[in-house]
Amino acid sequence: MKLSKSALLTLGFFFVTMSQLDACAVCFSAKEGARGAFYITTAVLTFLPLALISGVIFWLKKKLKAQESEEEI
Amino acid sequence: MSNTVSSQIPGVSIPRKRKPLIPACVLGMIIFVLTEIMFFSGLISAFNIIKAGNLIWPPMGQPRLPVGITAINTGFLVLSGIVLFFSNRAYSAGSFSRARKLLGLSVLLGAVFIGVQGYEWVRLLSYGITMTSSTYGSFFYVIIGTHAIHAIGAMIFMFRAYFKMSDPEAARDAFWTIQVFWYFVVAIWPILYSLVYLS
Repeated sequence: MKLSKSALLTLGFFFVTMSQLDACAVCFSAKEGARGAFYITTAVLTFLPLALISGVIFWLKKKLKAQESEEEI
Repeated sequence: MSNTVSSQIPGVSIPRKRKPLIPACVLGMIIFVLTEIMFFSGLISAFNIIKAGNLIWPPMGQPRLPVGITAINTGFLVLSGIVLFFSNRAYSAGSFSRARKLLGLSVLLGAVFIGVQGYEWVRLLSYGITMTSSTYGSFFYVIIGTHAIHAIGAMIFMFRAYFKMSDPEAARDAFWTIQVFWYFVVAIWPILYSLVYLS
């Protein structure tokens, strides 16, 4: 329940500050292309670290499992 | 399987010493490479946003980058990564002398890449692309220059690993660690090349 509350608060924060965030994409150039690039890079920079860290954890877990099964033999 | 083993003292057991999954230096390098990926992602993002904000890219009046020679140079770098992969295979198979030779070849190919890049930079500077000539020049030197610094740093450590390979067992961790970094340097280059040179 606590988690959903904090998630809602975060979402609310983004909705409130959306216009300010959006302004960054066009503060130097009021073009649709710049706005699109800003959205894409924001998404990439948000999800890439999560994907990278999850990937390393998954790989280490797989290695650990392999080592444990080796030890059992 | 129990996580403890019985000691010589009756009733007292000591924790079983587990073999590390990967050497600490390799894990450290993996974490470092993750931060480097984010660093380059930041540079690429800034480049993409600036590029999207310009109607004409590269900007008018700026010399064009040497696409052809850099494509060949990219081949040298990729080949260096492939040779390093085979060096690792030879090392794993216990053929240490072959592994060392292949590592040396990989270092040589990497050095050719850096040498050609340096030569191209000198030419570009003479054509008028500098850090302050335009945003195009700034991004070129920041993105490609950062990669070059990484490549030079990796070369130094590959040299070190090559000399350490005279004692293959002692060089195991250093060899593994530098492989992680060199694969990163090799893998990120085609992305940077297509982004900066081909766009």
